[in-house]
Amino acid sequence: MEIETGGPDGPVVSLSATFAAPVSRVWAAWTDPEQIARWFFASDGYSTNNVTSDLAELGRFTIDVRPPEGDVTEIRGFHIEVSPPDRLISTWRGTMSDEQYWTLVDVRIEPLDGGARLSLVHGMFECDSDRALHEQAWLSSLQSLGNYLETSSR
Amino acid sequence: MTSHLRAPPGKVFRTWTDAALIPKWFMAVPGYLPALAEVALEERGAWRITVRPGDDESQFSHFHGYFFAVEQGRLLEYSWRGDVLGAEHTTLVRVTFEEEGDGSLVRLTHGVFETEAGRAAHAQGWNLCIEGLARAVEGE
Repeated sequence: MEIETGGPDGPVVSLSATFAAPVSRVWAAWTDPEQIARWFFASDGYSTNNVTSDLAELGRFTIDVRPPEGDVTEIRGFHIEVSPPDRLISTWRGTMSDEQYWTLVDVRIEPLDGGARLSLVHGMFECDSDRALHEQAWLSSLQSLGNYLETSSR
Repeated sequence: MTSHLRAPPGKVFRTWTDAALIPKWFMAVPGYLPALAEVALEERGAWRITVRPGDDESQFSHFHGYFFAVEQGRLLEYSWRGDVLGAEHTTLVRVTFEEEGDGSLVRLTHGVFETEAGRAAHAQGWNLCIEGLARAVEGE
């Protein structure tokens, strides 16, 4: 898999990753709570629980992220645009850093060379340190998602 | 974008969110009919605005979304989706209202746009809206 960074100026995370798995399988891994727990914050001693997702317009999702030490980060949001299997736009708010505002996560999945490319845009952050923190977390989770897709046989 | 208005934040906030006042400023430009607005000002409440460049319904633009943060006189965060070419996807609007001298400082952020055309169209639209907002809250 490859991860590319770049995109619009300003405090926005913009990443894309390619996977040797079809669009429908990437969509399932991205949206099914049981599978989310397998790759989201699934490295460096982190673990997740309370992963839920009501995949409907204004449906709520929750993810609790437990670091190796310290407080649990509670991520909460609502799906706004749910277009299986290629587009999901959700609001996002976490207790990570001092993030006391809503952001938007916009995910597209498109076919590419027999596999799929996932493009993620997450913004707008109020400062670059919030942006950098989320970019690091997404890079690590996309890497884990690639590993999960390669090793699981769903 | 940032604007300075000669009216208190409470009044600016009310004008921004009251369905009866939105037509006074939202795309209130010469030749346009007043916009139509519906607003449920609460978390996850829906809003909808129809912009009417004339009386031909096929020319109307439709915008809608949901509020995610509502702090009276201070902050709004809401989703935004409209039929603007190049930006038909959902975006997020964040607007803060602060007291500044005897007026208000209004900061608006809107994104993330997929295309430069979508970003430019919204920047232009917001400029017209903020000019209208200034007229609406500073008048009388």
